[in-house]
Amino acid sequence: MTVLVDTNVLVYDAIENSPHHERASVLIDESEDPIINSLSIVELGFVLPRYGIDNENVRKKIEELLHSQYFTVSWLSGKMMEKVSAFMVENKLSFRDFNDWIIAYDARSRKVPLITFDKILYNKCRKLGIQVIEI
Amino acid sequence: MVFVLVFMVKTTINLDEEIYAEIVKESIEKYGSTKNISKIINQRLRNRANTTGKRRQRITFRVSKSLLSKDVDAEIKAGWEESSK
Repeated sequence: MTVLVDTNVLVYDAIENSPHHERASVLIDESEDPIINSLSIVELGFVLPRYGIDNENVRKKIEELLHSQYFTVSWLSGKMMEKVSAFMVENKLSFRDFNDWIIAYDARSRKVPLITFDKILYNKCRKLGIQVIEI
Repeated sequence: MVFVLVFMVKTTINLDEEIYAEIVKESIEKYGSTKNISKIINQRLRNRANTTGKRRQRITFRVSKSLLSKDVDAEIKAGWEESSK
């Protein structure tokens, strides 16, 4: 099954003693073709140092995501940002969560489910008819 | 020093139009051209084999217990706010 992986799943997968590590890793491993949005790589880049990961290891992780054989990177384009903005206006969504909606909309446009640990995003996606996998 | 030889076999396969379009798209997204279609197909087949067998290896970290209580989504938000200062 092809899925779009949210940043929080990537973070839990990367931190082996995190409470959701096992679940996150299994979800990624079970997917035949996990996709990550390029925005998640940016987010991972600034979140990992907040968990005490040093720069060199953050660099290695980013490199792994960019060149790994198991993730497909979905590159964020201007066209996609325009579509997400329009979608957000249409559905009265807050631009404070622009980053979340870029990722969720990517899943929607690819017609693949999003996997996320974010319960608020999960509930909003369900209301809007975006496929999302309950964790 | 260890040398690894990878043998490639040239063959012709017929792909469904939909699958072909998907693979072409992935090749462009990942490598910027359509020249890596074989590589993408190999990766996909290898990934499928991995899901039935050994767990795939990714870089992981152990962090201090005091940091584990942090909520990832709250940290992502905080990271965005910090980066915009």
